[in-house]
Amino acid sequence: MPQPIGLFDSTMATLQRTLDLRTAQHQALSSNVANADTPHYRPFEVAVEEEMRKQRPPAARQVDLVRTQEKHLPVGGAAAGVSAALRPVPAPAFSLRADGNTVDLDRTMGALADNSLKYKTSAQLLSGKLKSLRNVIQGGR
Amino acid sequence: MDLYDALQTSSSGLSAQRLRMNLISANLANVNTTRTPEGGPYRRKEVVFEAKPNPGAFRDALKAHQGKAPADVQASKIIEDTRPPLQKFAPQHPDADAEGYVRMPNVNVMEEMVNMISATRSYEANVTAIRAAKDMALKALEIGK
Repeated sequence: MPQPIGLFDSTMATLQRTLDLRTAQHQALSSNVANADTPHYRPFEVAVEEEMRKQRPPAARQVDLVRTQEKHLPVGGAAAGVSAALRPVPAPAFSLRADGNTVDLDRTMGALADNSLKYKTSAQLLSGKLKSLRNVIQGGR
Repeated sequence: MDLYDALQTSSSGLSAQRLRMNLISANLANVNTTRTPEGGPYRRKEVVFEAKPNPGAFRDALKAHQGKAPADVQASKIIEDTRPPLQKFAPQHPDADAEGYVRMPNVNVMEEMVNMISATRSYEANVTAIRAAKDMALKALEIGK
C-alpha cells in the first residue's frame, strides 16, 4: 500500500521559513535605515541565504496531529518561531563620516528592495502551492 | 520581531528626521534674530539621535542594548551650538555694542541647507522602508486567496 504523502510538503515548510527570515531581515534593515544618522550605530543584517542553507526546522518543537488510521493524510506541524542570527554589516571601505556610524544608506536601500522582492516572490509561490492544493481538493472544478 | 515592529522602527525614523527638519527650519527662520528670552542672539540648535531598543521580549531587549538587535531611533537631546556668535559691524542697530558691533546668530545658511537635504533623503529612505513593509504584508495577506 502506498504511503500517503503529507498534505503540506517540505517546499511549503521551506517557503514559510523563507518568509520568516525575510521578515526578520526587513526588521533589521528598517532599523539600519532609521538609525542612519545615529552616532556610533553599527548596522547588522540577517544572512538569509546562509540561514536557509543550514536550516532544518527545529524538529523538537513540531507538533504533529495524531493519526488513528494509517490512511489519514499526515499534516505536518508548523515550524515554531524564527531564530535568525544577526551578523554585523561590514563597514564601507571608505567613509568620510566622523560620527562612528557605519550605515551605507545606498547599500541598505538596495538590500531592502531586494529583500522585499524576494519576500513577495516566496509569498506568491506559497500562494500558488495552496491554490493547486485547493484545485485538487475541489477535483479540478 | 515582525513587520509591525519594522513599521514602528521606520516610523521612529520619520519622527526623528521630522524633528531634525523642524530645528533646521527654526535655525533658518532665526538667522537674523538678535534677541532671545535667554538674552543675546539666537543660538543654532541641533538634535542628537540615539538608538533605542525595541520594546519586547527581555532577550530581544538585552540583545538590543548590546547593539545586536533591531532598534528604534529617538532624539535623546537638543543641543545648542557652542560656536561663538558672529560679529557684524552695524552701528545703527539697536543691539550694537559701544564699538558698533552686533552679535548675530551662529547660523550658517549653507550648512543648514546641506542638513536639510540630508534630512529629506533620510526621511525618504524611511518612507521607502515603510512602503516595502506594507507591500510585503499585503502580499502575505494574499496567501491562500
